[in-house]
Amino acid sequence: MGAVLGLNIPYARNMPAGLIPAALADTPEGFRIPGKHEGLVVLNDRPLNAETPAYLLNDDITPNDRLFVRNNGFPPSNVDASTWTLDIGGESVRTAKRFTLEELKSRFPKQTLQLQLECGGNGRSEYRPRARGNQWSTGAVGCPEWTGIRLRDVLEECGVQDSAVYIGYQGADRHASGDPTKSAISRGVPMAKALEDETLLAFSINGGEIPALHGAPLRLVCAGWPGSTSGKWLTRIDIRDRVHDGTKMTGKAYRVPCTPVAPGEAVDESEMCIIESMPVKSLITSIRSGTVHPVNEPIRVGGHAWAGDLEVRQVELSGDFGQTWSTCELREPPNRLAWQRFEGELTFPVEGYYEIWARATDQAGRMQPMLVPGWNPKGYLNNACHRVAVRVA
Amino acid sequence: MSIAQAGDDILKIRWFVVGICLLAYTPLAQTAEGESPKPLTIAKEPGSNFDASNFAAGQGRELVIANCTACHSDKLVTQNRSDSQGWRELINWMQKKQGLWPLDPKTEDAIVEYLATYYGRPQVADDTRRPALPEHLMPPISSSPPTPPSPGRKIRD
Ligand code: HEC
Repeated sequence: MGAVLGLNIPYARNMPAGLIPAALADTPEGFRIPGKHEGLVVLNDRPLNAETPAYLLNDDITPNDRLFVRNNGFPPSNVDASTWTLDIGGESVRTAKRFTLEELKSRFPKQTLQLQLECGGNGRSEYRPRARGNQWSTGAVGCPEWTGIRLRDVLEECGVQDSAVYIGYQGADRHASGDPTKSAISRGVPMAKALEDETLLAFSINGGEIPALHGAPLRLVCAGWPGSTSGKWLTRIDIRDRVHDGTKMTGKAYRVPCTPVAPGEAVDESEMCIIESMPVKSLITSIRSGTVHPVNEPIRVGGHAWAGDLEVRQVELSGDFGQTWSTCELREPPNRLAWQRFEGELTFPVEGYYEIWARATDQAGRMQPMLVPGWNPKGYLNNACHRVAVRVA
Repeated sequence: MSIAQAGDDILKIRWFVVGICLLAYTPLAQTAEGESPKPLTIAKEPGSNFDASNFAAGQGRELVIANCTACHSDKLVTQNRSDSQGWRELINWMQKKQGLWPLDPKTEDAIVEYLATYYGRPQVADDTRRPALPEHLMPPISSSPPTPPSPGRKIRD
């Protein structure tokens, strides 16, 4: 069983049958997620949540084994792609329809796009007072290449009435309590986002099957918005005549105060607004924080920048705690909503402790802050500039 | 066995654990008083080198294990820091939204007390607008000899 779970549990033979998964909670060091790079940091093993250290995200197209995992509940078991169906319904659909996976694949034009996904809570660990939930640092982001069909094509085949406001998805994952009447998560996006060219019903990642953890056999990809809008293990999409009210659409989930509040301030649920596009952000991936570097030898500093629904206009680097900045080379995205490669160079003429900071600016002129931005009760949207520590010797 | 089936097993175990909590340890799960609660032994076989959870040793630990590890692992709890009011609000949210069963007031108090003691707000001021980089991302203090950052560090804080 250890092998099946990708674990090295020397004492597995001592375990009562069926108890190994519970024991995972106690063996973080030996815990290795099947199909994942061993460097991923497991924040929670049940439900599984794991992030990727920045230096492992250097690929322009994030490989499957380096894509972060955010599960709200438990993935479905016994997934059979040959019998999988997707229902389209809701108050504002003209004709409710059911499609098999094969029909989706054969009847609609295929799209392959590189699309970035970032968890709304990425960076939560820096908020003070602390915000509750998984304490993501910088690694709940990735930009794989997805293949699927446009959600718009399928919705239009069913007919979208003028009353349509939002879509809401349902997935086959199960609530952590095991209660079958509870849903683990059921979120969505406004019609305008749902009908965008890049909003996909994806059945393939990086040229292969979507791994079970990432939503096989069918998932949504709503790039640039909180990852939770990109529902996994999709079974149903409703075209709603109101803002979707599924699990984690309401209360404080994936919402921030409608107007800024002081750190720690109590905020009423009625004052919380749904997060839409994610803010501009960047990550230095070519050097590992904590490295030692020789004096006077230029360091190549590369990484990725992204800006929710927008494009990144500029990325700058500072090696002196923000006093001076130099502009990087910045590549065009391969397609809309993909992250963009940046490359720059810094030289340190004097030995000592330095931090390399990266700061991106989006096409609307909004820039990453150097401090943690507006505090919010659930700790979303921390896009403070990335810092990598270097000792120059 | 697929990952999804492993997930299935997890589900079964969860119910198994819930079962244990509710049946064998009903007094434990429902009241903070009474005889000194027996530690939960369900996940610990003789000779195995793992414990039921990574929760800090202290009064109330068994209650927390019994009531807080059925749906998710201890790690979702121990990643967090809050004061008593924050922990109480979280428990109430979990009851309202996530299916956490009702707790009698004494049990709830004991759980809150344990969490606020061992997973409380830091004593020193912790109101910075930007924390220093965590230790595992820092270079060596002195420039020689250069030691690479320790590999395989999985759990922070
Ligand atoms: C009946 C199931 C259940 C039980 C029992 C339970 N929880 Fe939870 N808890 C959940 C679910 C579901 C979540 C949300 C998980 C997610 O979204 O990743 C959660 C989330 C959390 C979080 C993260 C907070 C957040 O906003 O995401 C903490 C901390 C937590 N639980 C602590 C506890 C404590 C302490 C107890 C015991 C008093 C407990 N839980 C018992 C189901 C449960």
